[in-house]
Amino acid sequence: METFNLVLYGFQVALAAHNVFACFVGVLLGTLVGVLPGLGPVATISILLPITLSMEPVTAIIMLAGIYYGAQYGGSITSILLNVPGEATTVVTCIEGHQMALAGRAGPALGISAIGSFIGGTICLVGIMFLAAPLAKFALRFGPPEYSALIFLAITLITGLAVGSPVKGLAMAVLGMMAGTIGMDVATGEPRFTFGIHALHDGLGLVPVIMGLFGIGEILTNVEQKGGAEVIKTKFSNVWPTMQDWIASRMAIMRGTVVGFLLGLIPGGGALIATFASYSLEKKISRHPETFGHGAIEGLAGPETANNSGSQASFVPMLSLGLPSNVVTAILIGALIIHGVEPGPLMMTTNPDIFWGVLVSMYLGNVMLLILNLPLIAVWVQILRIPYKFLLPLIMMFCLVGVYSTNFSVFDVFVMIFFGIIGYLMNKFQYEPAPFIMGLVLCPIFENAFRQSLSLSDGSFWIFFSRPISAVLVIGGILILAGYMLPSFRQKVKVVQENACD
Amino acid sequence: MREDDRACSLILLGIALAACLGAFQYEVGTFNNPGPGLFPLVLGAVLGVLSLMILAGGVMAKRAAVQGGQATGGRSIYSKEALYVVLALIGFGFLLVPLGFIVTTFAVFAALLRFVTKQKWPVVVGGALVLSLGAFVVFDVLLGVPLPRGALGI
Repeated sequence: METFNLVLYGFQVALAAHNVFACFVGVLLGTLVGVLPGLGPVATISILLPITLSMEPVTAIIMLAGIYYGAQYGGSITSILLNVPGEATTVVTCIEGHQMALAGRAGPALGISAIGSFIGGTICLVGIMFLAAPLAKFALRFGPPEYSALIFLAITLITGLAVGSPVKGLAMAVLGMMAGTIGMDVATGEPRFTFGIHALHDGLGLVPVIMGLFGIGEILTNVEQKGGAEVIKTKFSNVWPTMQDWIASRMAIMRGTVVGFLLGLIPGGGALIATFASYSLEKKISRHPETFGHGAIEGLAGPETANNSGSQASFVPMLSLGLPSNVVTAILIGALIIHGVEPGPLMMTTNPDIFWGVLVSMYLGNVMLLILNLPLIAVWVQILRIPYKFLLPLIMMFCLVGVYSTNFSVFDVFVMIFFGIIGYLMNKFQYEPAPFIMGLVLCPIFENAFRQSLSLSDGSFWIFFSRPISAVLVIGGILILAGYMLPSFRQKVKVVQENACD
Repeated sequence: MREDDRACSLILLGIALAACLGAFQYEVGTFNNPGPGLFPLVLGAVLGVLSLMILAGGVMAKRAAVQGGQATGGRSIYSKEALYVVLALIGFGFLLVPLGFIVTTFAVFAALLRFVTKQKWPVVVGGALVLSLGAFVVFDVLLGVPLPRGALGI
């Protein structure tokens, strides 16, 4: 009953006029920028981060979340029409979605993506309602050792899912944590690694680092791409799926919801595994597996639903434990910190408006996406045709003014440029920037919890193993790390991903 | 792992060593009374180990490539376009305060339109003018972001 009241409270927060407006603007901007060639959800959210800085925390997160799933839907549009996935989670969308578009069925492909996402989001919200109360109770049992252990587990999980080598992913997370040690020491107030630069006393600004790595880094990578992909020319009069499409995809949508929800809750890019898992599942249980790869609508509906349901579920560890599941939630945690909200296990009790308000707003955002996108698809397609050379100056302008206006500091502009170059080189040499950001965001929280734990235990590391929750988390993390080192395990992960793409 | 991981791992190793040395500038303390230097020292050590693992992988990849006759090496790591964008951004950073927003944005975006997107001069001048004035009106006048006026007062 209490949970039901909290959900009602969430609706009250999300339905406040300014929050509805923030959600609408977020979804619209997200889809718009997500559709633009060369910008995925992470770049979109990074570039638009400064515009939310003057808002209340809950409104800012509602808008950023809206930008995120708006951009994700924008990514689905580019996947289907251009065969260009905006990010890893829409790789699977390309497989069946683009084939459907080639067969003249781009409308229903885009339609089922929006509808599947909406259904997935709705059911996911109900699931979260049931999960919230026990999770809040569980979170109260977290002390510094449990929290350090949880962050350790999260980092091991996330680095392992980095494309390419997990060792490189882990190195980036550690490098990010090292960058996080710049600034005043949490306990003594002594400045560390500031090199006499006063602007570094408060640490590296998250906004310029995020905008540099994901915004400028992506711009630099994109200017090298010669020529654009070709947009499919088709009419969008029949966006609504046919009865046959419904019958084929209804169970796939249900399964996608469950797969996405369960995998999304696990820290470590849940939505990504969820899309691959859903596609593999649909292919395996299909009566006509031979149609997969040739535009099977269930192979599109399942993963698209899983993607949305997984991203929504990935907000649960972030909002209940302060733990990012992927790079987007890491950026959102950064935004919370900038707004003076301390992410952590108590957030659900101390800031119920953020937890419930944001989750409910995501549901409303899905409704908006559905209303907005089905009639607007033809407009998005036109935007998709804008050549990148016209967009480049605009995106750069937005980054430069955005980062400058955060603190009116030219130093921040240089930090952004520096991390832009780093992001570009990371893309070049296949080092993922996502674990770096996770490390940077989590470092102060982790260091604090780690040092408090050691002080509590008089310097003994046994404290992490003598308490049941932290023991389970640490051992889990160690097993995962050991697993990454085993070539057979790495091979299995690769096979799962390749199978999904076959 | 890839061949160029050798160079990357050496850079990471350098950062790790610098962090470890830097950590000793602060009080490291003990495990039961950790000082500000302890955490950076631990991180530096972990990064050092990881960079050696990446180095080993890179060396093996290079060896495999040489044996397979597919060794690369010697290719440029950046393109001319990316370099121009970086130079334009750095120029923006240095010129923003002394020259003011409008003049800086005009100069930087004119260079960008000319050298990166390869536009003709009328488009370059017109585009840079529209961008600089348009951005000033939107951000400064309408949104109230106080953008620098520079020595010329514009």
